[in-house]
Amino acid sequence: MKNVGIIDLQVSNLGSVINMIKKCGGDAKAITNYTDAKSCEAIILPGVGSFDEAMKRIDQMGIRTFLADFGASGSPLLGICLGMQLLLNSSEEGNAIGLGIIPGTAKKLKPTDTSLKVPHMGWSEVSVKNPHKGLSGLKSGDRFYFVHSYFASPDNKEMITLETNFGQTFASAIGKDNVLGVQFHPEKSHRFGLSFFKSYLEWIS
Amino acid sequence: MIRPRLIPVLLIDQRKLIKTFQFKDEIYLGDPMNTVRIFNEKYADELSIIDRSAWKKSIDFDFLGSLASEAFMPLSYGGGIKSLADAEKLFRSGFEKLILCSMLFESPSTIREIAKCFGSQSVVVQINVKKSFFGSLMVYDHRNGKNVKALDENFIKSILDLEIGELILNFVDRDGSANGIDTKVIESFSKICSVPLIASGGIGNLDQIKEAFKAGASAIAGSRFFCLQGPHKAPLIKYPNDKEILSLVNREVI
Repeated sequence: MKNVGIIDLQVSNLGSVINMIKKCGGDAKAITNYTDAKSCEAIILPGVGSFDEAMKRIDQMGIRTFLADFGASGSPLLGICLGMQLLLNSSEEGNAIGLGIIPGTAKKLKPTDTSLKVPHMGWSEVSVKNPHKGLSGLKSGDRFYFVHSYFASPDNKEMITLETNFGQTFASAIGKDNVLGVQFHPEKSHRFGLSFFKSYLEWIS
Repeated sequence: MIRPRLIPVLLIDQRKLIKTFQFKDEIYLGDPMNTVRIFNEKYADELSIIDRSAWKKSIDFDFLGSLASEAFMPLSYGGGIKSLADAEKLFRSGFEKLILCSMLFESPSTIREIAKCFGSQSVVVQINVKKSFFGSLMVYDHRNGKNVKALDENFIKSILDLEIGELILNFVDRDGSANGIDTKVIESFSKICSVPLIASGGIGNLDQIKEAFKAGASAIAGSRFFCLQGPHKAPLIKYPNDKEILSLVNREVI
């Protein structure tokens, strides 16, 4: 079983992620500094809040280059929610430079149905666009909990692994080799989240 | 397909889970941590945590953080929230939405501030409703046990002006009764409510839940339905399965 580290940007409670991974038979610990990050074999980058603030904290922790290299090296890296958007080059939300591991940018949700309010907050279904081995525990029709106003738009559309509709179709998951990003919160999506983590942990070990 | 929202409400007091009846009598249900874990296993789509002991003291952030860490579903929290700082700390502790009730009497402008700062979608206002001696609908203040003003269209509009995300109408008289919700009231208020309306108080079975949705409720919240079984009120956690949930709005299971 791989040594999984969850980057703690001090903006959210990592407890549910840690506990869900534990429930799946894995073990993960919160990472608050560069030294601890270096010892990890797999990294999870969660995120809540704003793009610029998160990148600022990554810079403060001194792990920007480390994360970019980690992703480029083929080590398993998983971005959750804002964490997925941080994998990109930039975001319409702010001015900071992202990790640039998956070329692309985060864009603002603009549902064509005006009765749909942004942020997208609630349970929505995913559909499989381009299957990825790290998401083998999911199937079209599975639902997850989302809270976001921006979505990932990778330059290479083949990297879109799952799609969801919220007045517009957006990427609910993206993947490039061993780097994966999910827009939803698996740790808040009970049985669907458990399925996701079970198969993800199996895949990375 | 809009999936019906069923929200179990966990009322806690000094870290113990309790169930009240018309806001008066109460029984002890058990350990909130364990209850959250059981709801995980039942695949509850969301939970609300209300801490009664926070009204007079302060918010128990440590306990709430631990509780949130156990939950595998989105959470709402209500009880003793007084400021923007409280709100921020709660979001960081792992809660998705805040339920504000006393703030409506004490400082409604803070409600607007919280909605502006963190987004309307994370702000829920709860109105406790009681019938007066003459049978008219009144807004009940749980802090002093008094009916303070009429619950009417103007009052609802003044709350909606605060740019909130959702509104809970909690019927004090029906609390813990399993006698069903007041469908006429829900029907008339859902027509004037521009945000999702959550019917709370009195839910006892799936048929009553179905009626609540038919009357225009966007969601139902309850305690007895999810935590107690039978006329002898035995503590037992339940949550309807997929088939039962989708049957509430006549949708088929895909």
